[in-house]
Amino acid sequence: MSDIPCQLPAPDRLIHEPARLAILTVLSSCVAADFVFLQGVTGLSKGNLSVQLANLEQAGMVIMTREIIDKKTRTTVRLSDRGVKAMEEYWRTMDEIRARADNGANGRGSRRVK
Amino acid sequence: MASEQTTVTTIPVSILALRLKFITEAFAGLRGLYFVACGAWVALFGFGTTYWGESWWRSPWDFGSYAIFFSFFWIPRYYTRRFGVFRPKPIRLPAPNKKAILVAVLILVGLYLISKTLERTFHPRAEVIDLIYFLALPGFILVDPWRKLRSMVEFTVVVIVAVVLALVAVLPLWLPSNAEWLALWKALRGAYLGILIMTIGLCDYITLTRLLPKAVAGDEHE
Repeated sequence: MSDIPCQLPAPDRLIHEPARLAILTVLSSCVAADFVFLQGVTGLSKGNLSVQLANLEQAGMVIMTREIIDKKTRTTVRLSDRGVKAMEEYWRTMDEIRARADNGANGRGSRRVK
Repeated sequence: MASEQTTVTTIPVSILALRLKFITEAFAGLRGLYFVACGAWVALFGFGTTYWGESWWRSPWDFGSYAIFFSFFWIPRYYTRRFGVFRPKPIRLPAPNKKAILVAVLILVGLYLISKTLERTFHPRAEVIDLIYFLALPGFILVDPWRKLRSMVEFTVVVIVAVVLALVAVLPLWLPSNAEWLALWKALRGAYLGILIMTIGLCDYITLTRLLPKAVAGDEHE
């Protein structure tokens, strides 16, 4: 018999993936950053970072600008308006989950799962 | 319950809020090599002002020390090559911590009174007040908000510089008391503040290089 508490809010799965969360967290802290910086600060491989950025761009979360400087491609990334709102919503959801977990830990409502 | 064998894909992501905060402040506040350049100018200017005094060498020395600021053209390009492009948001300076300011003032006043008492009692040839400079560096370690991000390398740099400044501070106790040595010693003291700023800048730069490992050169996308 399981007592499942009232449904927890679900964080956005697009954001909640660790690599994408890292990228979006970095972009939330700045106006813009380029591919090299994102690779250095997240520790992701080039391929993985490329894929994740492509996913985020397709979802409309980031805006990518590519330019050729000194015969090398520089990709600059920044959060779109949609991305900013989505991140705010994501952190609100996580705060709510934490608040409910704290309430559970304080004994308000049991949670037994077999 | 049967144990499941799962394949866990770990992504080497280690974003800490503190790490991001440091990187943001380092870029927005022009820390690291910018501090080193500013500190070098302050050190050279202070040295020259004390050593050359009214001599005609003073003007070319001062003029030459301004050349350090040409590094402000080179540093941004180097940062872009080394770290990539990062455009920080404007940072809001935190409200001053009144308690910390009061403690700092009390410590400085206390050190001043102690040094003057020692000088009146023992009449050393060295200026005891200089101990403030070499104590400031270990103090930097204690009050540094980024303590958790520092490594033994930064700590070693601070200790070495503090020891060197302390030795310079008490140098007249061992040096012959002739005018030339004393003039050089006074000039070195004039560079203390610049050396402090350079040390802080160097520590920040070392921390930055550790938090942002060098990416492999080449085209961005595989």
